[in-house]
Amino acid sequence: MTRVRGFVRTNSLSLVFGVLFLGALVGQAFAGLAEFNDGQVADGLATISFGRYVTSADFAVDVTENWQSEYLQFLLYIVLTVWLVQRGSPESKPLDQAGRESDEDQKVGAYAGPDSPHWAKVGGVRTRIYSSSLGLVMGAVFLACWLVQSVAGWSAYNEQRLKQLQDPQSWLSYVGSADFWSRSLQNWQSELLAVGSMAVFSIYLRQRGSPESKPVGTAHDATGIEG
Amino acid sequence: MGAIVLAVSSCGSKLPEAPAAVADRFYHAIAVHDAAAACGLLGPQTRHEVEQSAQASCAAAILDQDIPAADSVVELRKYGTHAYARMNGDTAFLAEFGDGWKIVAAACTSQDQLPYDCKVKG
Repeated sequence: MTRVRGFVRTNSLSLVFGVLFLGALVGQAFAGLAEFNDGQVADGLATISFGRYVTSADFAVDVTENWQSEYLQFLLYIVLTVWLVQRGSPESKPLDQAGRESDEDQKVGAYAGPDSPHWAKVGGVRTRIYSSSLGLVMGAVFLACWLVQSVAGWSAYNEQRLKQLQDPQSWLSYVGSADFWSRSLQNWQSELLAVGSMAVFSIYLRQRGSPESKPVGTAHDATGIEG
Repeated sequence: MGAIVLAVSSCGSKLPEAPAAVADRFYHAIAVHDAAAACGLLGPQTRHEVEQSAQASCAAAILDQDIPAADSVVELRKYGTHAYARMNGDTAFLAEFGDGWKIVAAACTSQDQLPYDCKVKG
């Protein structure tokens, strides 16, 4: 019991986000089903079941268009903050540390400690891959989600076109269509706004105790200091 | 995802897809003047529209709708609850209902980017 409590306490951030994610996803599924079936009824068509909806292209495109944009946002943030800095922001490195930094700073190869991950110690290709593994995985998940969005969006778009007695389009036509780019860009702009504004707001505003904020009494121009 | 594209040669390969079978049965019913069978394959809105515009029962009106003779499915595309069947002689649109796939539009003529012009539709 104590071990379980300890596990929950020391992993509370990922556990709480996991539960909130599942709750929101289930909520989205029910709301999306209701919206889909409203449209079906209005068009004199048959309603569909919950199971049918959550395996439909309509649900898949709504889910993945948001997923891809979140992973793109964090990919950009992870990679761009290697080189780009923001004076006064806790989201930025100190102004003089822009770049990939030295092996000593990054504790790789000869500078690795006894508790460093194995691939950080071994050098060569494995250390180079491991040194970019966070960005590589976030980028791979982004591309996978964007690809699924394109396929699911294509299917949902063609379902709408058939409903309107129009010819279905090819996948290639769809990825050049206004629907695909509208779905992608509307998500991208909101993610970029949120992350950019957080980097700037955190110069002047504080959240006591949060590692995303500077300590409350820290000067506005202090950069790269997290609370 | 969810998209099934079947291109069928004109030699008439058998299609396992329900929408294709429904389209085949519909055009066969029109060809043999089986109005009751044809009406039974129409979606409720479409059937209602046929009756409204003819001011007669569907069975009395369906054979007067200028539905072209068509004998085999050349291309079937299905996306979710909707499908399109390009026949040898006509184009039809189908939708999935609780009791299976039904014709929602038939006797359709392509209008390039615009929706098909269909003599029978819901």
